[in-house]
Amino acid sequence: MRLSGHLKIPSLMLAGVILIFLPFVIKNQHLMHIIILASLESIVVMGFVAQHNLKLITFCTAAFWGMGAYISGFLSTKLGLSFWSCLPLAGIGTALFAFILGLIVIRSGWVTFLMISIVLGEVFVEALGHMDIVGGWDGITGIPRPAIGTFVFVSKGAYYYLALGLTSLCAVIFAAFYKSAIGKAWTAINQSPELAASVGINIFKYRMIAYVAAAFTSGLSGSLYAHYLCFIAPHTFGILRSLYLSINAAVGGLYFFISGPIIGSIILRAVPEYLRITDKYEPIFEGAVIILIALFFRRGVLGFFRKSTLRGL
Amino acid sequence: MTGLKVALLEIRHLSKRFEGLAAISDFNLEVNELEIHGIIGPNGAGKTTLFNVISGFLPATAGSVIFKGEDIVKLPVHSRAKRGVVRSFQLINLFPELTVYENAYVGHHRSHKTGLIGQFLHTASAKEERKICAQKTTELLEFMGLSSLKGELAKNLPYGHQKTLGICIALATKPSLLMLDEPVAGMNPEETMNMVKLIQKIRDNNVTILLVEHDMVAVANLCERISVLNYGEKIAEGSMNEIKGSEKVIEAYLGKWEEGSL
Repeated sequence: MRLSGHLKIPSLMLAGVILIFLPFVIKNQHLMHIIILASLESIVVMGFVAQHNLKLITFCTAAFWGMGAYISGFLSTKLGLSFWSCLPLAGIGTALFAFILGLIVIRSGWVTFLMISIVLGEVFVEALGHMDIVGGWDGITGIPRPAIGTFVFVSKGAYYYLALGLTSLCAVIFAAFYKSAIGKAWTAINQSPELAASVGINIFKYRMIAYVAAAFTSGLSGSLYAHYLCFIAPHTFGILRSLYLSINAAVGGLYFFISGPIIGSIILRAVPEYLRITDKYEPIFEGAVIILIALFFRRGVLGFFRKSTLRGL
Repeated sequence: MTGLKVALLEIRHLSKRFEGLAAISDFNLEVNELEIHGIIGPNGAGKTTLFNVISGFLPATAGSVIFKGEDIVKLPVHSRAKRGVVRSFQLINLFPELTVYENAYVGHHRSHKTGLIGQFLHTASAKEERKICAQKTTELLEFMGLSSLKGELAKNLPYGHQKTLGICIALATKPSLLMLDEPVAGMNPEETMNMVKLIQKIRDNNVTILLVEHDMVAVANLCERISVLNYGEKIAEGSMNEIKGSEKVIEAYLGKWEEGSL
Protein backbone atom coordinates (compact mmCIF):
# COMPACT_ATOMS: atom_id res chain seq x y z
CA MET A 1 0.00 0.00 0.00
CA ARG A 2 2.77 2.42 0.77
CA LEU A 3 6.51 2.58 0.70
CA SER A 4 7.52 0.27 3.49
CA GLY A 5 9.38 1.76 6.44
CA HIS A 6 12.75 0.14 5.86
CA LEU A 7 12.93 1.45 2.29
CA LYS A 8 11.95 4.98 3.16
CA ILE A 9 15.13 6.22 4.82
CA PRO A 10 17.60 4.84 2.23
CA SER A 11 15.49 6.21 -0.62
CA LEU A 12 15.33 9.61 1.04
CA MET A 13 19.10 9.55 1.53
CA LEU A 14 19.64 8.61 -2.10
CA ALA A 15 17.42 11.50 -3.19
CA GLY A 16 19.40 13.78 -0.88
CA VAL A 17 22.72 12.74 -2.38
CA ILE A 18 21.42 13.22 -5.93
CA LEU A 19 20.06 16.65 -5.05
CA ILE A 20 23.31 17.73 -3.43
CA PHE A 21 25.45 16.74 -6.40
CA LEU A 22 23.02 17.94 -9.06
CA PRO A 23 24.81 21.24 -9.84
CA PHE A 24 28.00 19.29 -10.63
CA VAL A 25 26.15 17.26 -13.23
CA ILE A 26 23.97 19.90 -14.81
CA LYS A 27 26.05 22.46 -16.66
CA ASN A 28 23.12 24.07 -18.42
CA GLN A 29 22.51 27.36 -16.61
CA HIS A 30 19.02 27.74 -17.95
CA LEU A 31 18.02 24.36 -16.62
CA MET A 32 19.38 25.33 -13.21
CA HIS A 33 17.25 28.46 -13.38
CA ILE A 34 14.17 26.35 -14.05
CA ILE A 35 14.97 24.05 -11.15
CA ILE A 36 15.41 26.98 -8.76
CA LEU A 37 12.10 28.54 -9.77
CA ALA A 38 10.32 25.18 -9.61
CA SER A 39 11.65 24.60 -6.13
CA LEU A 40 10.49 28.03 -4.94
CA GLU A 41 7.09 27.46 -6.49
CA SER A 42 6.81 24.02 -4.93
CA ILE A 43 6.96 25.65 -1.47
CA VAL A 44 3.97 27.83 -2.31
CA VAL A 45 2.15 24.83 -3.76
CA MET A 46 2.72 22.86 -0.53
CA GLY A 47 0.78 25.62 1.19
CA PHE A 48 -1.97 25.44 -1.42
CA VAL A 49 -2.27 21.68 -1.00
CA ALA A 50 -2.42 21.96 2.79
CA GLN A 51 -5.25 24.46 2.54
CA HIS A 52 -7.04 22.43 -0.12
CA ASN A 53 -6.89 19.42 2.16
CA LEU A 54 -8.95 21.42 4.66
CA LYS A 55 -11.43 22.53 2.00
CA LEU A 56 -9.95 26.00 1.93
CA ILE A 57 -9.67 26.60 -1.80
CA THR A 58 -7.72 29.75 -2.38
CA PHE A 59 -6.66 31.87 -5.31
CA CYS A 60 -4.40 34.24 -3.47
CA THR A 61 -1.48 31.84 -3.10
CA ALA A 62 0.57 34.08 -5.39
CA ALA A 63 -0.44 37.13 -3.36
CA PHE A 64 1.06 35.56 -0.21
CA TRP A 65 4.13 34.70 -2.22
CA GLY A 66 4.29 38.28 -3.47
CA MET A 67 3.79 39.62 0.01
CA GLY A 68 6.90 37.79 1.15
CA ALA A 69 8.78 39.07 -1.89
CA TYR A 70 7.68 42.66 -1.33
CA ILE A 71 8.35 42.66 2.41
CA SER A 72 11.84 41.36 1.64
CA GLY A 73 12.36 43.72 -1.28
CA PHE A 74 11.21 46.72 0.70
CA LEU A 75 13.22 45.97 3.82
CA SER A 76 16.41 45.30 1.89
CA THR A 77 16.29 48.25 -0.53
CA LYS A 78 14.79 50.93 1.73
CA LEU A 79 16.08 49.90 5.13
CA GLY A 80 19.24 48.12 4.04
CA LEU A 81 18.56 44.89 5.89
CA SER A 82 20.46 41.80 4.75
CA PHE A 83 18.77 38.80 3.13
CA TRP A 84 19.24 36.79 6.32
CA SER A 85 17.13 39.24 8.34
CA CYS A 86 14.64 39.79 5.52
CA LEU A 87 13.93 36.07 5.05
CA PRO A 88 12.38 35.36 8.47
CA LEU A 89 10.71 38.79 8.57
CA ALA A 90 9.05 38.08 5.21
CA GLY A 91 7.73 34.77 6.56
CA ILE A 92 6.54 36.23 9.85
CA GLY A 93 5.01 39.32 8.21
CA THR A 94 3.02 37.24 5.73
CA ALA A 95 1.94 34.83 8.47
CA LEU A 96 0.77 37.71 10.65
CA PHE A 97 -1.24 39.15 7.80
CA ALA A 98 -2.79 35.73 7.13
CA PHE A 99 -3.65 35.32 10.80
CA ILE A 100 -5.56 38.61 10.93
CA LEU A 101 -7.25 37.95 7.61
CA GLY A 102 -8.01 34.38 8.65
CA LEU A 103 -9.97 35.56 11.68
CA ILE A 104 -12.47 36.97 9.19
CA VAL A 105 -12.39 34.67 6.17
CA ILE A 106 -11.91 31.15 7.54
CA ARG A 107 -15.25 30.95 9.31
CA SER A 108 -17.14 32.28 6.32
CA GLY A 109 -17.70 29.04 4.42
CA TRP A 110 -15.76 27.83 1.42
CA VAL A 111 -17.58 29.78 -1.31
CA THR A 112 -17.09 33.09 0.44
CA PHE A 113 -13.52 32.09 1.26
CA LEU A 114 -12.84 31.38 -2.41
CA MET A 115 -14.47 34.63 -3.55
CA ILE A 116 -12.58 36.73 -1.02
CA SER A 117 -9.32 35.07 -2.05
CA ILE A 118 -9.93 36.00 -5.70
CA VAL A 119 -10.71 39.60 -4.78
CA LEU A 120 -7.71 39.72 -2.50
CA GLY A 121 -5.45 38.33 -5.21
CA GLU A 122 -6.47 41.15 -7.54
CA VAL A 123 -6.51 43.90 -4.92
CA PHE A 124 -2.98 42.94 -3.90
CA VAL A 125 -1.65 43.56 -7.41
CA GLU A 126 -3.64 46.78 -7.87
CA ALA A 127 -2.61 48.12 -4.48
CA LEU A 128 1.08 47.48 -5.15
CA GLY A 129 0.76 49.10 -8.56
CA HIS A 130 -0.47 52.30 -6.95
CA MET A 131 1.99 52.43 -4.08
CA ASP A 132 4.93 54.63 -4.99
CA ILE A 133 6.90 53.55 -1.94
CA VAL A 134 7.31 50.08 -3.47
CA GLY A 135 7.88 51.38 -7.00
CA GLY A 136 4.34 51.24 -8.36
CA TRP A 137 3.88 49.23 -11.54
CA ASP A 138 7.62 49.29 -12.18
CA GLY A 139 8.23 47.24 -9.04
CA ILE A 140 11.37 47.14 -6.96
CA THR A 141 14.75 46.88 -8.67
CA GLY A 142 18.22 46.36 -7.33
CA ILE A 143 17.32 43.98 -4.54
CA PRO A 144 20.68 42.94 -3.05
CA ARG A 145 21.92 39.39 -3.43
CA PRO A 146 22.39 37.25 -0.33
CA ALA A 147 25.91 37.14 1.05
CA ILE A 148 27.84 35.30 3.72
CA GLY A 149 30.80 37.41 4.78
CA THR A 150 32.54 38.25 1.53
CA PHE A 151 30.91 35.44 -0.44
CA VAL A 152 28.01 36.74 -2.52
CA PHE A 153 25.44 34.39 -4.03
CA VAL A 154 25.63 35.07 -7.74
CA SER A 155 25.90 31.79 -9.63
CA LYS A 156 22.94 29.55 -10.30
CA GLY A 157 24.70 26.78 -8.43
CA ALA A 158 24.95 28.86 -5.26
CA TYR A 159 21.30 29.85 -5.45
CA TYR A 160 20.39 26.24 -6.09
CA TYR A 161 21.66 25.32 -2.64
CA LEU A 162 19.74 28.16 -1.04
CA ALA A 163 16.56 27.05 -2.79
CA LEU A 164 17.21 23.41 -1.91
CA GLY A 165 17.77 24.33 1.73
CA LEU A 166 14.62 26.42 1.92
CA THR A 167 12.49 23.83 0.16
CA SER A 168 13.79 21.12 2.47
CA LEU A 169 13.04 23.32 5.49
CA CYS A 170 9.47 23.92 4.32
CA ALA A 171 9.02 20.24 3.46
CA VAL A 172 10.16 19.35 6.99
CA ILE A 173 7.77 21.93 8.48
CA PHE A 174 4.82 20.46 6.60
CA ALA A 175 5.89 16.88 7.23
CA ALA A 176 6.07 17.66 10.96
CA PHE A 177 2.50 18.89 10.78
CA TYR A 178 1.15 15.95 8.79
CA LYS A 179 2.85 13.38 11.00
CA SER A 180 1.63 14.93 14.26
CA ALA A 181 -1.78 14.89 15.90
CA ILE A 182 -2.40 18.16 14.05
CA GLY A 183 -2.17 16.31 10.74
CA LYS A 184 -4.57 13.65 12.00
CA ALA A 185 -7.05 16.38 12.85
CA TRP A 186 -6.54 17.85 9.36
CA THR A 187 -7.34 14.51 7.79
CA ALA A 188 -10.44 14.15 9.94
CA ILE A 189 -11.67 17.58 8.84
CA ASN A 190 -10.98 16.68 5.23
CA GLN A 191 -13.07 13.54 5.58
CA SER A 192 -16.01 14.94 7.49
CA PRO A 193 -16.03 18.34 9.19
CA GLU A 194 -19.21 17.54 11.12
CA LEU A 195 -17.90 14.31 12.57
CA ALA A 196 -14.54 15.95 13.30
CA ALA A 197 -16.29 18.66 15.30
CA SER A 198 -18.33 16.10 17.15
CA VAL A 199 -15.21 14.33 18.43
CA GLY A 200 -13.96 17.64 19.80
CA ILE A 201 -11.80 18.97 16.95
CA ASN A 202 -11.93 22.75 16.72
CA ILE A 203 -12.24 23.13 12.96
CA PHE A 204 -11.52 26.85 12.91
CA LYS A 205 -8.32 26.42 14.89
CA TYR A 206 -6.94 23.66 12.70
CA ARG A 207 -7.84 25.50 9.50
CA MET A 208 -6.11 28.56 10.87
CA ILE A 209 -2.94 26.56 11.54
CA ALA A 210 -2.79 25.43 7.90
CA TYR A 211 -3.63 28.90 6.64
CA VAL A 212 -0.91 30.58 8.68
CA ALA A 213 1.66 27.84 7.97
CA ALA A 214 0.99 28.21 4.23
CA ALA A 215 1.41 31.98 4.47
CA PHE A 216 4.63 31.64 6.46
CA THR A 217 6.30 29.26 4.04
CA SER A 218 5.02 31.20 1.01
CA GLY A 219 6.51 34.33 2.54
CA LEU A 220 9.89 32.61 2.93
CA SER A 221 9.77 31.43 -0.66
CA GLY A 222 8.80 34.90 -1.86
CA SER A 223 11.73 36.41 -0.04
CA LEU A 224 14.25 34.17 -1.74
CA TYR A 225 12.50 34.75 -5.06
CA ALA A 226 12.99 38.50 -4.66
CA HIS A 227 16.66 38.13 -3.72
CA TYR A 228 17.22 35.70 -6.58
CA LEU A 229 15.78 37.73 -9.45
CA CYS A 230 16.77 41.03 -7.76
CA PHE A 231 13.69 42.51 -9.36
CA ILE A 232 10.00 42.14 -8.57
CA ALA A 233 6.89 43.68 -10.09
CA PRO A 234 3.20 43.45 -9.10
CA HIS A 235 2.00 41.51 -12.13
CA THR A 236 4.11 38.48 -11.26
CA PHE A 237 1.87 37.79 -8.28
CA GLY A 238 -1.56 38.15 -9.88
CA ILE A 239 -4.44 35.76 -9.87
CA LEU A 240 -3.25 34.04 -13.05
CA ARG A 241 -0.06 32.97 -11.24
CA SER A 242 -2.22 31.60 -8.42
CA LEU A 243 -4.17 29.61 -10.98
CA TYR A 244 -0.96 28.19 -12.47
CA LEU A 245 0.24 27.25 -9.00
CA SER A 246 -2.98 25.38 -8.33
CA ILE A 247 -2.42 23.47 -11.58
CA ASN A 248 1.03 22.50 -10.31
CA ALA A 249 -0.74 21.03 -7.29
CA ALA A 250 -3.27 19.11 -9.36
CA VAL A 251 -0.61 17.73 -11.70
CA GLY A 252 1.50 16.43 -8.82
CA GLY A 253 -1.50 15.03 -6.99
CA LEU A 254 -3.55 16.97 -4.49
CA TYR A 255 -3.28 14.28 -1.84
CA PHE A 256 0.48 13.93 -2.04
CA PHE A 257 1.17 16.72 0.33
CA ILE A 258 4.89 17.21 -0.19
CA SER A 259 6.03 15.11 -3.13
CA GLY A 260 3.02 16.25 -5.20
CA PRO A 261 3.87 19.96 -5.16
CA ILE A 262 7.54 19.23 -5.93
CA ILE A 263 6.86 16.90 -8.85
CA GLY A 264 4.03 19.06 -10.18
CA SER A 265 6.09 22.24 -10.06
CA ILE A 266 9.05 20.63 -11.82
CA ILE A 267 6.84 19.22 -14.57
CA LEU A 268 4.99 22.44 -15.19
CA ARG A 269 8.16 24.54 -15.15
CA ALA A 270 10.11 22.21 -17.41
CA VAL A 271 7.55 21.06 -19.96
CA PRO A 272 6.60 24.49 -21.38
CA GLU A 273 10.31 25.40 -21.56
CA TYR A 274 11.22 22.32 -23.53
CA LEU A 275 8.17 22.41 -25.75
CA ARG A 276 9.23 25.98 -26.51
CA ILE A 277 5.87 27.32 -25.52
CA THR A 278 6.09 31.08 -25.28
CA ASP A 279 4.05 33.30 -22.98
CA LYS A 280 1.48 33.79 -25.69
CA TYR A 281 0.56 30.11 -25.81
CA GLU A 282 1.09 29.33 -22.13
CA PRO A 283 -2.56 29.88 -21.11
CA ILE A 284 -3.67 27.52 -23.88
CA PHE A 285 -1.18 24.90 -22.75
CA GLU A 286 -2.21 25.25 -19.10
CA GLY A 287 -5.86 25.04 -20.12
CA ALA A 288 -5.23 21.81 -22.00
CA VAL A 289 -3.40 20.44 -18.94
CA ILE A 290 -6.37 21.23 -16.68
CA ILE A 291 -8.76 19.44 -19.01
CA LEU A 292 -6.49 16.39 -19.28
CA ILE A 293 -6.11 16.16 -15.52
CA ALA A 294 -9.82 16.55 -14.90
CA LEU A 295 -10.56 13.80 -17.41
CA PHE A 296 -7.81 11.26 -16.89
CA PHE A 297 -5.53 11.94 -13.93
CA ARG A 298 -7.72 12.83 -11.02
CA ARG A 299 -5.06 11.82 -8.53
CA GLY A 300 -2.24 13.56 -10.35
CA VAL A 301 0.98 12.07 -11.70
CA LEU A 302 1.88 10.46 -8.38
CA GLY A 303 -1.55 8.90 -8.13
CA PHE A 304 -0.40 6.63 -10.96
CA PHE A 305 2.33 5.04 -8.92
CA ARG A 306 0.78 4.98 -5.50
CA LYS A 307 -2.79 4.25 -4.61
CA SER A 308 -2.81 5.40 -1.05
CA THR A 309 -3.97 8.95 -0.59
CA LEU A 310 -4.29 10.97 2.59
CA ARG A 311 -1.43 9.11 4.19
CA GLY A 312 1.22 9.77 1.54
CA LEU A 313 3.46 12.77 1.83
CA MET B 1 -32.72 20.77 41.80
CA THR B 2 -34.01 18.60 44.61
CA GLY B 3 -30.55 17.70 45.78
CA LEU B 4 -31.31 14.03 46.17
CA LYS B 5 -30.47 12.77 42.70
CA VAL B 6 -28.43 14.93 40.41
CA ALA B 7 -29.32 14.84 36.75
CA LEU B 8 -26.37 14.60 34.36
CA LEU B 9 -28.26 16.39 31.63
CA GLU B 10 -31.07 18.79 32.29
CA ILE B 11 -33.01 20.40 29.49
CA ARG B 12 -35.25 23.29 30.46
CA HIS B 13 -37.89 24.98 28.33
CA LEU B 14 -35.96 24.23 25.15
CA SER B 15 -37.46 25.56 21.93
CA LYS B 16 -36.31 25.45 18.33
CA ARG B 17 -38.14 27.31 15.60
CA PHE B 18 -37.47 27.25 11.87
CA GLU B 19 -38.92 30.53 10.61
CA GLY B 20 -42.12 30.27 12.52
CA LEU B 21 -42.39 26.50 12.41
CA ALA B 22 -41.93 25.14 15.90
CA ALA B 23 -39.77 22.01 15.63
CA ILE B 24 -39.41 21.76 19.40
CA SER B 25 -41.45 23.70 21.89
CA ASP B 26 -40.93 24.02 25.63
CA PHE B 27 -39.16 20.70 25.96
CA ASN B 28 -38.02 19.55 29.38
CA LEU B 29 -35.95 16.51 30.12
CA GLU B 30 -33.75 15.11 32.84
CA VAL B 31 -31.30 12.33 32.15
CA ASN B 32 -29.81 10.76 35.26
CA GLU B 33 -26.31 9.45 35.53
CA LEU B 34 -25.80 5.96 34.05
CA GLU B 35 -29.33 5.78 32.73
CA ILE B 36 -30.29 4.65 29.25
CA HIS B 37 -32.93 7.13 28.20
CA GLY B 38 -34.88 6.69 24.98
CA ILE B 39 -36.63 9.29 22.89
CA ILE B 40 -39.30 7.94 20.60
CA GLY B 41 -41.99 9.47 18.48
CA PRO B 42 -43.55 9.30 15.03
CA ASN B 43 -41.64 10.53 11.97
CA GLY B 44 -41.19 14.27 11.96
CA ALA B 45 -41.75 14.57 15.69
CA GLY B 46 -38.51 16.55 16.08
CA LYS B 47 -36.27 13.85 17.52
CA THR B 48 -33.28 14.47 15.27
CA THR B 49 -33.71 18.23 15.62
CA LEU B 50 -33.62 17.77 19.38
CA PHE B 51 -30.38 15.82 19.03
CA ASN B 52 -28.88 18.50 16.81
CA VAL B 53 -29.76 21.19 19.33
CA ILE B 54 -28.38 19.27 22.31
CA SER B 55 -25.11 18.50 20.50
CA GLY B 56 -24.80 22.02 19.13
CA PHE B 57 -25.22 21.47 15.39
CA LEU B 58 -28.27 23.73 15.49
CA PRO B 59 -28.64 26.78 17.74
CA ALA B 60 -31.55 26.73 20.18
CA THR B 61 -34.18 29.44 19.90
CA ALA B 62 -34.80 29.51 23.64
CA GLY B 63 -34.21 27.51 26.78
CA SER B 64 -31.17 25.90 28.31
CA VAL B 65 -29.20 22.65 28.15
CA ILE B 66 -27.51 22.09 31.47
CA PHE B 67 -24.80 19.47 31.57
CA LYS B 68 -23.10 18.70 34.89
CA GLY B 69 -24.52 21.94 36.25
CA GLU B 70 -23.20 24.11 33.41
CA ASP B 71 -25.37 25.68 30.72
CA ILE B 72 -23.85 24.56 27.41
CA VAL B 73 -26.60 25.81 25.12
CA LYS B 74 -24.43 28.51 23.53
CA LEU B 75 -21.23 26.48 23.13
CA PRO B 76 -19.95 25.27 19.74
CA VAL B 77 -19.98 21.55 18.90
CA HIS B 78 -16.34 20.84 19.73
CA SER B 79 -16.57 22.55 23.14
CA ARG B 80 -19.56 20.40 24.05
CA ALA B 81 -17.60 17.34 22.96
CA LYS B 82 -14.76 18.46 25.23
CA ARG B 83 -17.16 18.57 28.15
CA GLY B 84 -18.33 15.04 27.38
CA VAL B 85 -21.48 15.40 25.29
CA VAL B 86 -20.84 13.37 22.17
CA ARG B 87 -23.21 12.06 19.55
CA SER B 88 -23.20 9.51 16.79
CA PHE B 89 -24.89 10.26 13.52
CA GLN B 90 -27.59 8.47 11.61
CA LEU B 91 -25.84 8.73 8.23
CA ILE B 92 -22.50 10.55 8.20
CA ASN B 93 -21.03 8.47 10.96
CA LEU B 94 -17.46 7.75 9.87
CA PHE B 95 -14.40 8.98 7.98
CA PRO B 96 -14.85 6.98 4.75
CA GLU B 97 -11.31 6.97 3.31
CA LEU B 98 -9.60 6.07 6.57
CA THR B 99 -9.14 2.60 7.97
CA VAL B 100 -11.17 1.35 10.91
CA TYR B 101 -8.11 1.80 13.11
CA GLU B 102 -7.53 5.36 11.95
CA ASN B 103 -11.20 6.19 12.45
CA ALA B 104 -11.01 5.10 16.07
CA TYR B 105 -7.63 6.82 16.49
CA VAL B 106 -9.00 10.17 15.33
CA GLY B 107 -11.77 9.80 17.90
CA HIS B 108 -9.07 9.99 20.58
CA HIS B 109 -8.22 13.55 19.52
CA ARG B 110 -9.12 14.88 22.96
CA SER B 111 -6.52 12.66 24.62
CA HIS B 112 -3.72 14.77 23.12
CA LYS B 113 -2.85 17.11 25.94
CA THR B 114 0.45 18.44 24.61
CA GLY B 115 0.19 21.92 23.13
CA LEU B 116 0.23 22.59 19.40
CA ILE B 117 3.88 23.61 19.40
CA GLY B 118 4.86 20.46 21.30
CA GLN B 119 3.02 18.36 18.76
CA PHE B 120 4.59 20.23 15.87
CA LEU B 121 8.06 19.68 17.34
CA HIS B 122 7.27 16.01 18.09
CA THR B 123 8.45 16.35 21.67
CA ALA B 124 8.90 13.29 23.86
CA SER B 125 5.57 13.88 25.57
CA ALA B 126 3.77 14.20 22.22
CA LYS B 127 5.29 10.91 21.08
CA GLU B 128 4.37 9.26 24.36
CA GLU B 129 0.79 10.47 23.98
CA ARG B 130 0.57 9.07 20.49
CA LYS B 131 1.73 5.73 21.83
CA ILE B 132 -0.92 5.83 24.55
CA CYS B 133 -3.54 6.79 21.98
CA ALA B 134 -2.56 3.87 19.79
CA GLN B 135 -2.82 1.57 22.81
CA LYS B 136 -6.25 2.94 23.73
CA THR B 137 -7.40 2.62 20.12
CA THR B 138 -6.45 -1.05 20.05
CA GLU B 139 -8.27 -1.66 23.33
CA LEU B 140 -11.37 0.15 22.15
CA LEU B 141 -11.52 -1.81 18.90
CA GLU B 142 -11.23 -4.97 20.97
CA PHE B 143 -14.10 -3.82 23.19
CA MET B 144 -16.28 -2.99 20.18
CA GLY B 145 -15.47 -6.26 18.44
CA LEU B 146 -13.87 -4.53 15.46
CA SER B 147 -10.27 -5.72 15.93
CA SER B 148 -10.33 -8.11 13.02
CA LEU B 149 -11.38 -5.32 10.66
CA LYS B 150 -8.89 -2.68 11.71
CA GLY B 151 -7.09 -2.49 8.37
CA GLU B 152 -10.23 -2.14 6.27
CA LEU B 153 -11.27 1.21 4.83
CA ALA B 154 -14.36 2.40 6.66
CA LYS B 155 -16.30 2.89 3.44
CA ASN B 156 -15.88 -0.79 2.54
CA LEU B 157 -17.40 -2.14 5.75
CA PRO B 158 -20.81 -3.79 5.80
CA TYR B 159 -23.62 -1.62 7.13
CA GLY B 160 -23.83 -3.09 10.62
CA HIS B 161 -20.12 -2.67 11.20
CA GLN B 162 -20.25 0.90 9.92
CA LYS B 163 -22.86 1.65 12.56
CA THR B 164 -20.69 0.05 15.24
CA LEU B 165 -17.68 2.04 14.05
CA GLY B 166 -19.70 5.26 14.25
CA ILE B 167 -20.40 4.53 17.89
CA CYS B 168 -16.79 3.50 18.39
CA ILE B 169 -15.58 6.92 17.19
CA ALA B 170 -17.97 8.68 19.54
CA LEU B 171 -16.90 6.43 22.40
CA ALA B 172 -13.22 7.14 21.75
CA THR B 173 -13.76 10.69 22.99
CA LYS B 174 -14.55 9.27 26.47
CA PRO B 175 -17.96 10.89 26.71
CA SER B 176 -20.01 11.11 29.90
CA LEU B 177 -23.14 11.36 27.78
CA LEU B 178 -23.32 9.40 24.56
CA MET B 179 -26.13 10.35 22.22
CA LEU B 180 -27.07 7.70 19.69
CA ASP B 181 -29.19 8.62 16.70
CA GLU B 182 -31.11 5.50 15.61
CA PRO B 183 -28.35 2.99 16.40
CA VAL B 184 -30.24 -0.05 15.13
CA ALA B 185 -32.04 1.48 12.14
CA GLY B 186 -31.92 -0.83 9.14
CA MET B 187 -30.53 -3.80 11.07
CA ASN B 188 -31.92 -7.31 11.06
CA PRO B 189 -33.14 -8.84 14.37
CA GLU B 190 -29.84 -10.55 15.08
CA GLU B 191 -27.77 -7.43 14.43
CA THR B 192 -30.25 -5.48 16.54
CA MET B 193 -29.78 -7.77 19.53
CA ASN B 194 -25.99 -7.55 19.17
CA MET B 195 -26.21 -3.78 19.16
CA VAL B 196 -28.50 -3.83 22.21
CA LYS B 197 -25.95 -5.93 24.08
CA LEU B 198 -23.16 -3.59 22.98
CA ILE B 199 -25.03 -0.50 24.19
CA GLN B 200 -25.64 -2.16 27.55
CA LYS B 201 -21.96 -3.00 27.74
CA ILE B 202 -21.09 0.64 27.03
CA ARG B 203 -23.40 1.81 29.82
CA ASP B 204 -21.79 -0.67 32.19
CA ASN B 205 -18.52 1.14 31.45
CA ASN B 206 -19.91 4.30 33.06
CA VAL B 207 -21.43 6.08 30.08
CA THR B 208 -24.88 7.61 30.27
CA ILE B 209 -26.84 7.05 27.09
CA LEU B 210 -29.54 9.08 25.39
CA LEU B 211 -30.91 7.51 22.26
CA VAL B 212 -33.42 8.12 19.54
CA GLU B 213 -34.89 4.96 18.05
CA HIS B 214 -37.83 3.66 16.06
CA ASP B 215 -37.23 0.00 16.77
CA MET B 216 -39.50 -0.77 19.73
CA VAL B 217 -37.84 -4.08 20.48
CA ALA B 218 -34.53 -2.34 20.99
CA VAL B 219 -36.14 0.46 22.99
CA ALA B 220 -38.03 -1.99 25.22
CA ASN B 221 -34.86 -3.97 25.86
CA LEU B 222 -32.62 -1.02 26.52
CA CYS B 223 -34.32 1.98 27.98
CA GLU B 224 -35.16 2.43 31.64
CA ARG B 225 -37.07 5.58 30.85
CA ILE B 226 -38.61 6.78 27.64
CA SER B 227 -39.78 10.19 26.50
CA VAL B 228 -42.34 10.35 23.73
CA LEU B 229 -42.13 13.29 21.39
CA ASN B 230 -44.88 14.43 19.05
CA TYR B 231 -44.95 17.67 17.05
CA GLY B 232 -42.00 18.90 19.07
CA GLU B 233 -43.68 18.44 22.41
CA LYS B 234 -43.17 15.81 25.05
CA ILE B 235 -46.44 13.96 25.46
CA ALA B 236 -45.36 11.24 27.85
CA GLU B 237 -42.45 10.04 29.94
CA GLY B 238 -41.89 6.90 31.92
CA SER B 239 -41.01 3.24 31.64
CA MET B 240 -42.12 1.21 28.62
CA ASN B 241 -45.09 -0.15 30.54
CA GLU B 242 -46.15 3.28 31.69
CA ILE B 243 -46.11 4.89 28.29
CA LYS B 244 -47.69 1.90 26.56
CA GLY B 245 -50.92 2.65 28.39
CA SER B 246 -50.88 6.37 27.71
CA GLU B 247 -53.76 7.47 25.54
CA LYS B 248 -51.79 10.36 24.10
CA VAL B 249 -49.05 8.00 22.92
CA ILE B 250 -51.49 5.64 21.26
CA GLU B 251 -53.13 8.62 19.64
CA ALA B 252 -49.82 9.93 18.34
CA TYR B 253 -48.90 6.63 16.76
CA LEU B 254 -52.28 5.34 15.62
CA GLY B 255 -54.44 8.43 15.35
CA LYS B 256 -57.46 9.36 17.41
CA TRP B 257 -60.21 6.80 17.70
CA GLU B 258 -63.53 8.55 17.66
CA GLU B 259 -66.97 7.22 18.18
CA GLY B 260 -68.41 6.40 14.78
CA SER B 261 -65.29 7.08 12.79
CA LEU B 262 -65.60 3.82 10.96
